[in-house]
Amino acid sequence: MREYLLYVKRGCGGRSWDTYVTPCFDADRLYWQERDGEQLYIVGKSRSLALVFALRAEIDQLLASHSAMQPPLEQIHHSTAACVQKVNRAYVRMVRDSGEDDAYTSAMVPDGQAVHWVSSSAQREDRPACTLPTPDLITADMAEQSADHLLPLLTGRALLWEEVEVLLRSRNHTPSVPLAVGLQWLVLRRQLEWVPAVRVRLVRHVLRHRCSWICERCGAGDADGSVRLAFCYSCQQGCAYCLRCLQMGRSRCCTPYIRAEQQMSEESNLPGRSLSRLQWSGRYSPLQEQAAEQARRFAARPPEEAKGGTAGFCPAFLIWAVCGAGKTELIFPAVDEMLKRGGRVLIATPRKDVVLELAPRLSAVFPSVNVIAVHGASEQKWEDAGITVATTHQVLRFYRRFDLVVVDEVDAFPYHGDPVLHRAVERAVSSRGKLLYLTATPPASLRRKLIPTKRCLAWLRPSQTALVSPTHVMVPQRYHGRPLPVPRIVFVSRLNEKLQAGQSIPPLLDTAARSLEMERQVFVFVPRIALINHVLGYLRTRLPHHRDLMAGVSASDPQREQKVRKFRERALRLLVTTTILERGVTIPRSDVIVLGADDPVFDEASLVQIAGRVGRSADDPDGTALFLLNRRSDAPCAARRQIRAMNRLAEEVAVTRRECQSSGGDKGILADVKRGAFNR
Amino acid sequence: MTRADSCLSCRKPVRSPARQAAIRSFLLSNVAARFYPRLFVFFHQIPLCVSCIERLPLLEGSLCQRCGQPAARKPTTLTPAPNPSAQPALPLCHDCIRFAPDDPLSANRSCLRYNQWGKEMIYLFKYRGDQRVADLLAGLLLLAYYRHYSGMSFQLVCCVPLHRHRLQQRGFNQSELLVRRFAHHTKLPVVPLLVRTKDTAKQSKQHSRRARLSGMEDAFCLQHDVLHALPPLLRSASRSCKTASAVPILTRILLIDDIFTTGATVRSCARTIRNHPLLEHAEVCSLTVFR
Repeated sequence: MREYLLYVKRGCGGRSWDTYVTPCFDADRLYWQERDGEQLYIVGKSRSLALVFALRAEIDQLLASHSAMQPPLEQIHHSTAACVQKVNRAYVRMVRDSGEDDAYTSAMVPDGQAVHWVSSSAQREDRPACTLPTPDLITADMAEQSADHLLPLLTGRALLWEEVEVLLRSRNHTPSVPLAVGLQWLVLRRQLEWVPAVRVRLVRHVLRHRCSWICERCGAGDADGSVRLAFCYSCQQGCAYCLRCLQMGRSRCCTPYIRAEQQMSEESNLPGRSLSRLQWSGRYSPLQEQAAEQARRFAARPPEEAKGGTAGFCPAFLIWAVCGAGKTELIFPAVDEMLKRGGRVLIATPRKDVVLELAPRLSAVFPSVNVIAVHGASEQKWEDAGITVATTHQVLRFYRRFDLVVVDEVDAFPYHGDPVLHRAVERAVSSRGKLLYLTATPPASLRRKLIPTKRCLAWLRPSQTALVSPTHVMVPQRYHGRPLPVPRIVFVSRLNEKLQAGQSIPPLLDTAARSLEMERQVFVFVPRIALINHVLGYLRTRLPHHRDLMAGVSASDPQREQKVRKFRERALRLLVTTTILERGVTIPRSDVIVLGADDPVFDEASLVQIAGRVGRSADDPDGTALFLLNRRSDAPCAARRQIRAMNRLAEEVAVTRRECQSSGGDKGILADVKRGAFNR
Repeated sequence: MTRADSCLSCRKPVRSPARQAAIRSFLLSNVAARFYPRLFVFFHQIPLCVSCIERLPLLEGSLCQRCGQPAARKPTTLTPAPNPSAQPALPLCHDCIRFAPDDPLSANRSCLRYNQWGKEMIYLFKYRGDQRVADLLAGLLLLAYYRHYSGMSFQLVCCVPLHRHRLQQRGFNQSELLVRRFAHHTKLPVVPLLVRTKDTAKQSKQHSRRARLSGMEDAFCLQHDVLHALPPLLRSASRSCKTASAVPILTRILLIDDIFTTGATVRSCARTIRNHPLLEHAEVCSLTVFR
């Protein structure tokens, strides 16, 4: 059981006072003896790290205005005791209010004392709270050495105490002194910080004080029921844990959350490093080349200048490329640029299968760079590398580590409407680092932030968006240069009833039959899993010639991967599915039908992605995308508008380029393209 | 990531118009109608969606009268026990016949089959530490209790303890969380009778049946300071017996745990309880969620 001690010390400057929290007071004493042998005033100790930090904030407030030679110990003890009492009352009330009955509450919180605090006022002499097993054997040198060993392992990571232990075990690191000593040494050297994994704050109110609980890892609070109070045997008292990020290990009040900022590497200025490591033989289309160059310049810009569009606190850049534009290749020059400067690169992507596919591709292109794939079950989780490809949940374990973070598909499922993962991604960027978003359908918030709009008589003309700006670049054209297939929107009244009753729905049946006869493959998207079998049965009875070539697949289907593979191999020709296949699946010569595109499941972004399944290969750039609607709805029309706008933009760019070439101009496309406008 | 009101196992929203009717038909088909009102209140708060409630793999059919194993799994194993005394023969399964003469456990009943779903729930509960699962499992325990033990009266309940070190590491005792919720609803007194003295390797890591059984020998002992409080408790509980003696003749103790696999843990607990002179004649039954 760990106990945390709170003490006050005069600041280095002289007149100010600092507060410190330590799990092993002996280490602190050793440390301060070496520096300046001043007196340390112990305030008290507790097993709940969250409580100690809440009190620390309280004392800091008190000391801010204090400048005497002696600390106001009486006042400190008085205010801490009052604060502990308030926290206890608020805790007990919260447990009662949470619907648990009295019998259960009293078992959980005996004698109304939820969290315990031992004030040192009872014992005047500053006796250490917990002594090390053999205090004489630990010297300052040993602690120093241990801290030096720990630092390179922990730097750039944000981990729970248990995870630190796992990390050390996986690196075969056995510290010579207890782990707490090494860590505390780093804290005192200000190279590491630790906070309670779930923080408590006393919210004062005229009528009733309240406690607010916030998970330091994922930022969830008790307001939406994400933090749950429980009696904990590890700290033998009332505790709280976070439900939101439970799947990554329990974040609790009594567990330290250890964060260390990435230390700047000295080797970054070595001359030999400025060689390019990119070995890629592919070729860009002119538009791709321009986008890749823009991204590279963004990576090369010094951070102060790149501050143009700030997403949160770090410079950000958006590559908005249509589906099938070859997005992954676009980031190669930017990644290469960052590696040349000795930086680390993270590529965060929503799904594990994308991680597994992307990592080998990158290591083929950057053969001299160490590329690791980090996901839940990965063996390489604790390794250090030039390029890290990670799922977004794993990004939560990094802390200001990477100089370039590439976020693939910002609008895809786990990010969609989840502030946690945005927070995670921004936190993984180092203090001088940059964020690069890569998507076909940027959410409105990102567009507002990163795409400057020219406000010219907005009521006369739709606002115009430039193709290129310091914070974004657009690739409105696919790599094969043909326009995106524009979806056809057809209204069918009583669509679901007709499906149920088996009545004919000509647009659906004709399109499906035509595609199947032309030896093409068809995706049929439905809004809900429950509808898959219905639609499948309907299509089988209505199109009996092809009944063996049809299948339905959903996220909960155990045969999901087999079915998708058979579809790729053309053994299946029609697949009824939900939004799980909306991205990442490339099938040449395919068509798309969306049944009930007015359903709220399909928003603008997902419909653009679905339409983007069609015509991706160069030998068959056209195809049909059909949206069937019950009633009028905004999303399908907005999706069609977006696709049309992209096509128009691509057309304008092409025209400008042709003019430029015929006039023999040698300015390059960039200057001309800047005139291109994107009407929305 | 999990949300407060989404289903624990499939993450779909819990609330739905069909929920009330589904819980009603589920409960009425599985327990006697008189227990329905209190169980309904409990089940209504469980974070489990309608389709998951309907899919719960309840243990049904004819059960081994000792350990509650359904006969359907091994059709031929239920045979009347060799019966030296005059008691009526009980159909027992193969495992229980091996134990038969000096089996410390009187009976075990469980609620669900331990399948993939159960494994996921137990993983979520014990190793991830999601204590919302406790509400769910306690509801299932109550269901099994009213199904199988409704005719019996128990004087006290206790749970299978964890070793100090394991408790410290995990932060909570899963059976204790269950027993607390269970006892609150049944109004039975909870008495922490046992302490674990041997820090055995995890049962789920030991594969052979023999290893589990031998590993569990002497793993528990009685908590002596609780025993002082015991006689008045038992006496008050069996006041209807009107016996003059200080120690009641018959007591029934209910042991609660999460899983019954070979029964090694539960039997070891039962043996420890019955080794004490005060509780020599006690009848120890167990109730677990999974079997």
